[in-house]
Amino acid sequence: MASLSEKIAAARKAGFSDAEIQSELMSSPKFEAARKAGFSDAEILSELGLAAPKDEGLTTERAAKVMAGAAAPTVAGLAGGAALGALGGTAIAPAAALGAGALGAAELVGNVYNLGRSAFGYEPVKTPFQYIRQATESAFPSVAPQTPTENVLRAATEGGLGALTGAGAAHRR
Amino acid sequence: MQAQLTGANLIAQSGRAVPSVVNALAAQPVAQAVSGAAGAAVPEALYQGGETNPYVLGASGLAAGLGAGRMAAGVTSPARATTGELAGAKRGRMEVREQTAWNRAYGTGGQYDNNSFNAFNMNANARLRQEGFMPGDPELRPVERALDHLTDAGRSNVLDMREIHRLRRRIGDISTSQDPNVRRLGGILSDEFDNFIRDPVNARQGIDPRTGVPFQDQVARGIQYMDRAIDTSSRLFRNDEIREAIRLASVSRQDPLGALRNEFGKIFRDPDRLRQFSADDQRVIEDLAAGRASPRAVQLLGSLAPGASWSGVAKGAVEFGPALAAATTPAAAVVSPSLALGLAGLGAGSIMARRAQNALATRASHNLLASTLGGVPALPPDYRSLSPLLAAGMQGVNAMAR
Repeated sequence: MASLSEKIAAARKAGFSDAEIQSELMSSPKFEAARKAGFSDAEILSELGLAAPKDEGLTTERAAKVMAGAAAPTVAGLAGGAALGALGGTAIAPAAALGAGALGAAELVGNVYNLGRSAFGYEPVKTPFQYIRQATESAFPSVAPQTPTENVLRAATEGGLGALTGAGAAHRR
Repeated sequence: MQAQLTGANLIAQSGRAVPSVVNALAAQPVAQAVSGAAGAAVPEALYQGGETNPYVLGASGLAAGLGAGRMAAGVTSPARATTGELAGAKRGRMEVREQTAWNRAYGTGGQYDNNSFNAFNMNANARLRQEGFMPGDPELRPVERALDHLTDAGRSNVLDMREIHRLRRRIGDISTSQDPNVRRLGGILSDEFDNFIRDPVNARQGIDPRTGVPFQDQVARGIQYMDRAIDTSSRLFRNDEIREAIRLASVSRQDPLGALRNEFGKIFRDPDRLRQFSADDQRVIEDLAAGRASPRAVQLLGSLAPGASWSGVAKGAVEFGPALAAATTPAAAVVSPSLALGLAGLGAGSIMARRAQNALATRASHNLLASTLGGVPALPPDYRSLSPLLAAGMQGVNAMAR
């Protein structure tokens, strides 16, 4: 099995840019495990032979992309609720709001579980927002935050939108 | 069967709670969004800066969300009229209505018979003596002065509606005395006086030379206006009692729940004051006096809230001490993180429950204030401080669950 460094080299040969490779890596479970072990993003990327992205301020274009990606879980909740509402023949708007609220509530339940699970030695579960975030970033790598500032922006966007659904938004990776 | 009923009740109660929660969340969307955004962004910024302690991250999310939410709430939501303020406006209208009714009663030209009034004075005097009044008792001097006033009026004054109103106010002064015995005797005298003036038989005999109408007919018409005025004034009197209790509670050092319990306890323990209120109002007064203006679960949880007393400080130390220690020293060396988290969660929940108790007790007292005036719309609870707290609390959980 090829090592991670060999995979990165192969990806470079295939024409992927370092930014695209970083984006893919930063959403992988191994990257998250390294973070949980206390390593910073820069340290992990440096170990893999990739330069940590420079935090040179936030451009409007990047902000828009990151915020669009951060809105994905809420949009997914709204869309899911609206679709169920349409199928069930009920009013669309309340069903959409209910969908977003239910997703937010599920996220909160997941976070509460993850918070208490260490006492019983259970593994953390992946929350709904994490699933949606990963799917979004796989389909649209450019929406993944690359810098600390972009991470804060994503957290603020998810938190603000999530608060409106009533259950808050997780900003875990 | 009992279990089914209990289960059904639980579901019904949960169902009724949903609109309350939705109202709380929809109350202030801007403040809520700001609270959620700040509560998420600040711990993320700390995390990006290298902070990984979940307690620090959780506390920073809670503090930032709460602070930002409250600021946004203050900016975006101008103070809303409370039930108490609406009751204040209605009170002003009722005071005008009372005076208008008296003015109309004056206009009827009705007069009472002085002999009948003198007989009333003698009967009232005898009744008060039966109830413990002793002429010359220095503690009951106000009652004696009021009786003297009535006697003088019966001997020498024309007992028209204006004079009757003046005498009624004079009796009203002693029925609101701070001395419970004077107040009790004043209440009896007031009831006797109202019985007298409401009976047209006590009208002056003969025909009013100015109008050509019998005095008895004019008094009968005047009684209709006086009834309206007296009903309004007795509502205003009850309103005064509640308003004064709320005013005294508002300047107390205790929190609203404790201060209202104290003030309404004074009314509840005084049968003479309590009997002035309707049965429904008496029940609310009893609940406020017993600190029962909120659901039982909220009362139980609220009783665990930290406070300024010795026991309150001890509760705070037990609930938040382990988590604070864990935030500053390695958690494992102090106490189990789960236990620390559980205690802190219990403490946070008890503080929220106590806030809810304060809000519900305040609302109950304002609704009672409105009820004494009759028909002021009761407003739902004010969620201005609660909705940012919800959003911030959730972001605190999210930050810790990283």
